[in-house]
Amino acid sequence: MKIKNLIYALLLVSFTSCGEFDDLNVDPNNPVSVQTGTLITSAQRSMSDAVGSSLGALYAQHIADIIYTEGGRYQSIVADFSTWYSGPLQNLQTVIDLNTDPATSTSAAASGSNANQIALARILKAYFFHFLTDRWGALPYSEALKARGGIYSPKYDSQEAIYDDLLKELKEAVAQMDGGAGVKGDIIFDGDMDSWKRFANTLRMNIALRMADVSNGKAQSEFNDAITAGVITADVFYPYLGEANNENPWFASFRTRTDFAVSEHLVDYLKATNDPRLPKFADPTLNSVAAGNPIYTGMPYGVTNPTSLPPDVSYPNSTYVKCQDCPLPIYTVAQVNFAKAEAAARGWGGGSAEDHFKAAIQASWDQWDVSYTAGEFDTYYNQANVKWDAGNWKASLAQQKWVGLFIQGYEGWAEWRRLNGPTFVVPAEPLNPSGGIPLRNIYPTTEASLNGVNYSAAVTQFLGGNDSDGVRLWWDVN
Amino acid sequence: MKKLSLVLALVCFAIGFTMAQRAISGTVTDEKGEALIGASILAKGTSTGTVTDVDGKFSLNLPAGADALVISYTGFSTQEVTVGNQTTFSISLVEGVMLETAVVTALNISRDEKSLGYSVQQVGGEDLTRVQETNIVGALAGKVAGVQAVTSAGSAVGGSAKVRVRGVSGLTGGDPLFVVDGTPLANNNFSSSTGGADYGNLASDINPEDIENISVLKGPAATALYGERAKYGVVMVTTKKGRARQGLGITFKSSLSVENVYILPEYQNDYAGGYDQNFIDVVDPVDGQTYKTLDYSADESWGPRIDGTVYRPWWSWYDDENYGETVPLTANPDNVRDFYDTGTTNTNSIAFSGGTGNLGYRVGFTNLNQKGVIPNSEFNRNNINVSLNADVTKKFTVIANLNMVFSDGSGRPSFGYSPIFGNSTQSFNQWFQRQLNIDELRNYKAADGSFRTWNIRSTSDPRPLYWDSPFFAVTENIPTDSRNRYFGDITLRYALTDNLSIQGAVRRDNFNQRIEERIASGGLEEAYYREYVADGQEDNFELLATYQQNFGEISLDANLGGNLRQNRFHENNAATVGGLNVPNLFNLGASVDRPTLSSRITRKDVQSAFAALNLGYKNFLYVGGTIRNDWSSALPVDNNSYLYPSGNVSLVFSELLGADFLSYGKLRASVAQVGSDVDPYRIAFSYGIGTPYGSSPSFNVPDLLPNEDLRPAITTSWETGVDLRFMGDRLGLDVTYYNNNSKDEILAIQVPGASGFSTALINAGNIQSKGFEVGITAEPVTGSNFSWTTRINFANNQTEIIELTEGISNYKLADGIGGQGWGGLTLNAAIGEQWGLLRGGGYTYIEGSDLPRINANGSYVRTANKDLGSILPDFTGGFTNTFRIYGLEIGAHIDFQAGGKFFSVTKMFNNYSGLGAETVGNNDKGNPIRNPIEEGGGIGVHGVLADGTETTVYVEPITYYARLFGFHEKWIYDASFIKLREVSIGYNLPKRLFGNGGIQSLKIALIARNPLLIYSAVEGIDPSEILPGANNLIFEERGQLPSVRSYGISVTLGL
Repeated sequence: MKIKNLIYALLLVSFTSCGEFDDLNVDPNNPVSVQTGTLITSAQRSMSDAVGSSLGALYAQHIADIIYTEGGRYQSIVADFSTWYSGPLQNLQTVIDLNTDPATSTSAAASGSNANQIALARILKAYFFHFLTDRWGALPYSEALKARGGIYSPKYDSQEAIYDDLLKELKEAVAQMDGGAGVKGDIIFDGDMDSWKRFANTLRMNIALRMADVSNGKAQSEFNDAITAGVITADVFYPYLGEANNENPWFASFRTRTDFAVSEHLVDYLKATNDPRLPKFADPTLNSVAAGNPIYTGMPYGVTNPTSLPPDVSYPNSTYVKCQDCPLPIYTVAQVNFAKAEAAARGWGGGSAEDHFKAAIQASWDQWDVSYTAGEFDTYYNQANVKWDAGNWKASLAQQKWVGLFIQGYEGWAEWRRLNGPTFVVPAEPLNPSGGIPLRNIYPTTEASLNGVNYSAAVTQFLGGNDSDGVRLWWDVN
Repeated sequence: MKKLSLVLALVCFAIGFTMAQRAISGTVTDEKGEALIGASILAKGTSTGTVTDVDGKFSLNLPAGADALVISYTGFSTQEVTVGNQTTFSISLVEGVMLETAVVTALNISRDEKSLGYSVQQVGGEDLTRVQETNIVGALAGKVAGVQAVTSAGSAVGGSAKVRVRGVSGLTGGDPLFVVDGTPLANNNFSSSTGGADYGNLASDINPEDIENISVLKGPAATALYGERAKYGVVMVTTKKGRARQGLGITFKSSLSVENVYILPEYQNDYAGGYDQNFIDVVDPVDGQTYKTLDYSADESWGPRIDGTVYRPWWSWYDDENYGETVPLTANPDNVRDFYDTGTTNTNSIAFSGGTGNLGYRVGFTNLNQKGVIPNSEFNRNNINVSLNADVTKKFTVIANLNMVFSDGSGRPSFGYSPIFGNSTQSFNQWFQRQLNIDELRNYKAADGSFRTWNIRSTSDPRPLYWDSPFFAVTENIPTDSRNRYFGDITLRYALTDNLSIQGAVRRDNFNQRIEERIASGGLEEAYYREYVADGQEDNFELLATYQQNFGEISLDANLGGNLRQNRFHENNAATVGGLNVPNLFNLGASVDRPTLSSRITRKDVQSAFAALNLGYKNFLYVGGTIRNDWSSALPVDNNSYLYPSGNVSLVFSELLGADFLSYGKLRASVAQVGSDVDPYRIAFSYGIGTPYGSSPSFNVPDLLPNEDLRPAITTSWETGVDLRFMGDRLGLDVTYYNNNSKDEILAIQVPGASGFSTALINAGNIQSKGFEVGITAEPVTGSNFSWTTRINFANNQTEIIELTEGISNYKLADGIGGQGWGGLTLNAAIGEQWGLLRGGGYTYIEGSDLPRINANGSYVRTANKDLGSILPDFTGGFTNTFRIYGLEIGAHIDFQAGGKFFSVTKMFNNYSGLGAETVGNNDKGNPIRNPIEEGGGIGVHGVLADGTETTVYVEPITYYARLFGFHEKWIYDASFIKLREVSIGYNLPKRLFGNGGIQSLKIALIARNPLLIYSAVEGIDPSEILPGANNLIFEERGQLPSVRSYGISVTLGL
């Protein structure tokens, strides 16, 4: 039995340090709790992907590819929305949850009052969802972000339902701000809740206007309510920093390459109207500068085998668009004024449509740092292809709003779809299924494989059975 | 612990028996009378045996009924000796015969092959080093049935190599466990899996020159005692040991081979760079004259016909003495090949070995130096192997093995698609101009230190557009790396009685890895410096009791053991951001912006208890079983214990038949389970560290939803086989069939992102691998002056996905390059399909026609997400022949593979860019395809229109290939190949030449590695070398480096 005891003893040596064994699986690399403000910072950094997207600028045809034109020929029309959910939206939902749950709300308050954090998170959620629904249409919404509650396969909600809820969310968020401590980690307004109030109202104004053609009554009341509640009075930019981790994405893409130029039809319109924004939007071509005779040349949009060389076309401007810390617009005063002009033209009240229109153009000039006299502006404005045409206001508005939304790609694309102008270039060899200018993004292929039942139901119910880029969104009725 | 008690009881029950037996002893020597250490002696028909000591001596308690001894030794012919009444034996073994019977099994236990109920295949060390293969994984290619080796390109010095044992036995693939002298080794890979320098896999630290033999354990029955890590098989390496001999034995081996680039795609040499066939007219600002030049901003070759037209090349636009020069436009067919150097591989090794009565030792030192064919690439490795084997007393044995490996690399070439460090080969094959003179590019630096390249933005702006000079990357962006590795064990064994011994071992594997990556200032990419440091350590504390006893005609062999494994890993990764504030100051402190910094620590323990029992009846029937329980710290506390058994049976029916023609016949069968766990920190929720905004930190909710209810995964398998040998073992046939079900795997399954997470960790799935393995050995000619031995093995494997989890029919393993933007190629595990299914864009067919659907403009109608085949091969195998003609030994080794798809980015862009030979030539009208359509040119696209009308539409080649971008079906190839991997012609100088001097033996051999790719289903790429660095899923090649062939000489001197 000596042997047996020895074996027992030796075997047991292996199992002596059980206490340490149980603790080994505690992750020393990542925190189990963080200040909620850091989640907001992270979510706000994702706004850069919306406002600085080259794909959006291609869709708006502000920008054209120079050599590799697949992007502008809508090759990436099947686009993935998943990372918006698992990224910023999930972070924002977590901020709301941690500030709501009594077990965590006290510690969460280190980043600002619970109510203010929840309000800010709801506003940002609304911002992202609005951006997303205007790309894809119907989306997982009411059941989204609930994996921790056991819902892995969320159903899709109609765009109309999403719009309704976004309006409600924005109103409730503004209402629940409690005057307590501002939110820490806020890189857009540095915790100034009043600015967030205006941001939320501006977003609500924009959402309301977008549904004007399908729900005129509700659009009007929400629009006017938002204006009354107070919209932005200064342009809101995404603030890029002069360092590589937080730099302007146009700067990043031009660091080693020269893939993008301002589109030919934009440059031609600006030239035709002697628009002082041209040298703010674009750089003169490299070859013309080298030859001592700077000129601006746009890049034809979406050509199959391009013949223009990079030094012969105008890149986005180096001082206002693609410097390392050039801020990019999120919402602008010009947008607000264009919206007011349209509201007035639609008979929703609010003064003279043309006055708002002029104010919008001037706001845009101001935004782009144009210095001008009143006379110079009038000269510009009184050109036939600029001036407000009350009989055909939509065309006037669409043309100038498209210019005014320069580099706000996705917003420009949405307004083109809604206002049906100006005339865009249809590529000769498009790579999107519809073959025309896309009216929406196609759902990611992963939805069919991972969320098949809900995906199929959504395609049947909201897209007439065809998940194509040629299907109009709910608000896009014309 | 209840089950553990059961095991203990079982063993203690066994200990209770004792039986009468007879002691015998003897010595085993080679033909020259040199003692053989570690030769295996088995009482025939039992599992009782022993091994010889350092003097070649052995003693054994012969079980009653045993009437013969089977003596075997690696590299020697196995001998059988009748016992009779003899008690002392003097046995002399004859060298060099193929069939061996003693094999190394799990936990380094040497057992008689005939007693095993599962397949184990052994490869001798000499078969690994014959042609100076430097990575043992690569050296295994084609040598073991069911083992598929895929390596990185030969031009990637010290690059990665991967083995798949029996296809994949887990959803995400996996590597077998490497074990050296019982010590498990880490096989991390610190390379990227998509692009950058390939730093090799850590198992490549094992020095082939130190290997006595390799035993590959393929199925769970064989690997059960290795537990959770052996799910993907075990590669067991036994190193050379010292033998008792007179004086000191010294072996010196030196090999030198030269390497040249072998496989490159076939290029066209008819058209120069550009997007169309017109020269560009440029007015020179200096002399005001107009010159013809090419469009150097184009990195494609659709330009003017190469017809001798006088023009100004790129270098005549730089402000130096060549400014303004004009030259005729001529072809440079060998421009790419001329970029590469002649490489060398030089291995020098010296080993001292010897022993006295109670002691055996070996000290080996090997230096490997490789200079790659890609300029400035170099790899060095120094291996020191020390082994000691001492019988301190008759009962007490001490064994120590220590291996030290010091390796460093410099200028390892980057692979993949446009890695920021530059991949010149990718440029040559994908984005280049065919007419370029490579010698002009050598001069990549102007006198003022600025860099010159062909791909200038314009004649007035000669900065690089997409590409630096190919010589820039390989001269300026030099990565360096080094690794120090220590592994080994100290084992103490004590014989408590004649039947029972107990052994304790302490094993450690420790490495520290350093990587420094650089991008020089002034090139296309922003200057950059990265430092990566990792320390890894695994300790194993092992205890093993062994009991052997014979009871009449029954033999018993039992083991009981426990093991504590501790893994510790620590890494730091730091890189500059925003450039370097002093040009070429490669220091983290020179980062313009806040550098990225991260550190990570992982810790994991696994405690195990195990037991094995083997029973033999007479000399023909064997039954064995194992049981093991693991406790893993990485699993939830309530679920961290898992138990799994195995059983096997072997019937040597030839002993019953007594048929003369059948010298050996064995049937075997086994069934086994293996449990496995998960990486640490996967069960509890924690936040991910995001990029800070200025001074504001950012954190993220992770994309992976952890799971607090994870369970261990269990793989269940069975296998059966037959081993037949005829005509006195001159012909042998070994066939195995296996079936392996991996269930309840711990998987990060994709969930709809809208749920808030992109993946969730769950237990799910049932993946079934099955297949057969066949090995044939033959000695068609055996004579003292001429002999021929041949070995062929082949294996088939099917890995099918039976089940995933509810509601999920497909598990996406990976996205192809470019994701959706490049057409959405995916690699999948789809229910009912073979594992590794490629899905992507392909042709569309309509009923009633074999022709693809085309549009009126000649473009193919594209079907997305089309099933395009599995990446797993249908068949793999090898074919080895050895001829001995007097003292001359000629060996040739071929390996082959049938099937297994991969996507080639090189092929796609080789044609997209107009570089490939396919983009020129004549069409069916007899006109050059690059001529205008209206002049009868163009590629004739033959297909059917929507209404079924058959038609041919002529399309300009540039448009034709542009449309095939992301059209995966066109660029997916079979990785089928037949490759002559090794050829050696060696001559052993007759011993009489050396007289009585110190020289014992001298062998000179001419060697060739990869001399001939006999067959490949894809032109221009060696499909056996498409492993992308650390990538576990080998399904696409993004910028393949060239393969090399090498020829050399090796000299082995024995003193």
